[in-house]
Amino acid sequence: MRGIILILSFLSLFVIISVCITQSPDLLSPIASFTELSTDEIAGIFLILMLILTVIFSYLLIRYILKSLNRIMQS
Amino acid sequence: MVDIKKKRDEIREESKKEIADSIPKIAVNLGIAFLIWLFGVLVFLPLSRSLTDPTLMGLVGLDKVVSAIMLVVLVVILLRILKEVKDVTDAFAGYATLWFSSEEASEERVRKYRTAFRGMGYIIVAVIAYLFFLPFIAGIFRALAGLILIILVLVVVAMLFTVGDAFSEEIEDQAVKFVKWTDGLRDRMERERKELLGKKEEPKEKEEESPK
Repeated sequence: MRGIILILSFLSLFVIISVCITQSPDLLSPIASFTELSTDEIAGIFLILMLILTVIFSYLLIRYILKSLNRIMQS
Repeated sequence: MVDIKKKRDEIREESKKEIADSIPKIAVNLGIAFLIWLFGVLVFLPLSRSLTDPTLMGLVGLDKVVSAIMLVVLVVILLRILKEVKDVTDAFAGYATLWFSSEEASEERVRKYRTAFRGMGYIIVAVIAYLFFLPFIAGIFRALAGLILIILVLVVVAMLFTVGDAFSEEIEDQAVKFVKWTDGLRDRMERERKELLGKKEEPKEKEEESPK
């Protein structure tokens, strides 16, 4: 149960980060200051990163839920 | 007769085994695919379009990249369960065949029904899969969605021809039965009409005879 809550928290975190960086890309200006990229471009890269992490964590979440269910059924 | 019964039992057992074996795997993978689809369609695609500069390094649209990533992930999941989906479709086709065909149906006919129901199952699966992928395909290249739809329609039409062909014998039998039934009905009505006319004529004859 703790694992599921942890994964759900991570998923929520990824979504929140994605929303924050896309709605106000100026948050990324410190990163943009030492690269040649604009804040929008960095926001795009972050968004893709968050998407990949969300996909991986969604996969983990379902596997974890099913393993827990299996354990409950067997006991 | 014993052979047909044996064959039917075989189909039933086979279908039961396939369903018990494949459904859990499909459920797990579909759960994963659905969760990813929800995140993709409801969160990441709208977000990727909301940026002031919705491109990746000015090269390609961000929504296109997001759609492509989602599409690849979903295709990988679909490929993993493709064999299981095929098995379950076949199993349901087996059950549908048993329900639809009569106990006396020949082996050849049962095989035809099974092919027909299998074709119908594949059509349903293909349409659901297309609807599942549509937002991402349209996100990459709108015309691609239309092109795939045209191919899907052509394949579905070809499959429906096969399905119709497999059911044609049954439809023919039912039509013959219907014609026989209507013929019987017409004969009965004709007979009853004649009887009624005969009854009406009898009193007239009696009336004519009585004054004499």
